[in-house]
Amino acid sequence: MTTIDANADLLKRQREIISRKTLKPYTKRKDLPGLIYFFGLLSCIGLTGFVVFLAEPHGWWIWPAMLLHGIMLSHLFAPLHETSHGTAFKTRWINECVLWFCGIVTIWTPLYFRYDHAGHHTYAQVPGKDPEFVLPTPRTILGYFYYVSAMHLWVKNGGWLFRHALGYMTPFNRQFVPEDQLPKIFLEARIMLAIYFGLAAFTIYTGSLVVLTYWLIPTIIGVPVARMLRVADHTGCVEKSDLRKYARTVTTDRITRFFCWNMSYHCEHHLAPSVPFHNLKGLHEEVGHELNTVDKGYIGVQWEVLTKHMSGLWRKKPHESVVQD
Amino acid sequence: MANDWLFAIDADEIDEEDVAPIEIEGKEVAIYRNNGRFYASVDKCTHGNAFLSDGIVVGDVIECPLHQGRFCIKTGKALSAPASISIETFEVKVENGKVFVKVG
Ligand code: FES
Repeated sequence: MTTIDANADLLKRQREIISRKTLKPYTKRKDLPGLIYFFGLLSCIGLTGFVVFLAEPHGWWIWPAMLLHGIMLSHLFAPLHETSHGTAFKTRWINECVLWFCGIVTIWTPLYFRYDHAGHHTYAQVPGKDPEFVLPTPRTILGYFYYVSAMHLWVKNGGWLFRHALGYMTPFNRQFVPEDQLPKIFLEARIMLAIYFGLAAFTIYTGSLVVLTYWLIPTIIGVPVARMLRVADHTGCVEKSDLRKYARTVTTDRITRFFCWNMSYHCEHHLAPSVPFHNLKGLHEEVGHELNTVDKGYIGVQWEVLTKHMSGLWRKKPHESVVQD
Repeated sequence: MANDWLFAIDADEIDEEDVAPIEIEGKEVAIYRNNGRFYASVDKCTHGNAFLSDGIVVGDVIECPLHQGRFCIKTGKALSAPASISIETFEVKVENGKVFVKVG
């Protein structure tokens, strides 16, 4: 199936689930919910940063403090994702500023991510085509920990950053980016690398540990929590383009929904990516019964993935069948 | 026929800040309404062929329903990724509550 066919198919299936008329009110854009969520998250980050500050003189206490701070920082992926769709705010420049801020802090190249993520929406769960396929079958417990530890993330994002800064993009990634846009993507990687090298030079020159204790180390040790949320989005769902079953909506508490910007309604997000995060709950109430909604929370889903959707501890067994729904 | 004004749709069939699909001369056209003014373009996104008439109008912008690529409804200019190629736009006039388009 070509990209064009895949897109047409997707929209046709969307219409089978919800009419344009019913969907339209949910696509309405606003600034206020995004500002509340974004500054709410920044306040939490400021607070945990203060906890790191308080813990600094107390030896090893700084590690749990940095972990907590890192967990907060890792949730900046949620606004990065929402702004990559352009749905977080009605005002475009606010959307783009937040996108860039989150991209720099979380070390994701924002413009390239926008293209890559468009590819994910076209080919979600299609083996060999989905650029964001999380743990395709056959998956192993070791593979799960490699993903959740975010080692894969640093390899992937670091690869984007350095390759693009050097003016090279892999053929697989290239299929998502029009030729005339490559210079912009290479430029964004160079700008981001310049910022990171600037921070490294500052750290070496001044001997200050501020960058390490308040950003880099927390970012590295805190990101697994956000990765676990990502595992729940698709892993273990059907591996074919099926809007009803290829993603998972996880019913969860308000606090978790706040930190993941309602991406727990993941089926609804894939059904209609034009719907901003603050309307996903309403859309869920409208069509959630037709989609793959699971009522066991994020920890329950991790357990399900680990106990039902693995084909071994470390060795892949390609012929072993794995539960698919 | 290409340079003729062709009837497209009754003006009151499109809500303010909205878009409607029509077919004229075998061509799929999207008709937009914003601030009481009407605009027209091809109904296909240049990024991945989604119907722009399934998208949402925000001011002078049509946003593609699939990956949220954005285009100016006045000029057709591609405004943001993943869309990068502009869409073709058509001349529009409104007479007696009826919208006419030149799909030349
Ligand atoms: S199909 Fe329109 S932005 Fe991708």
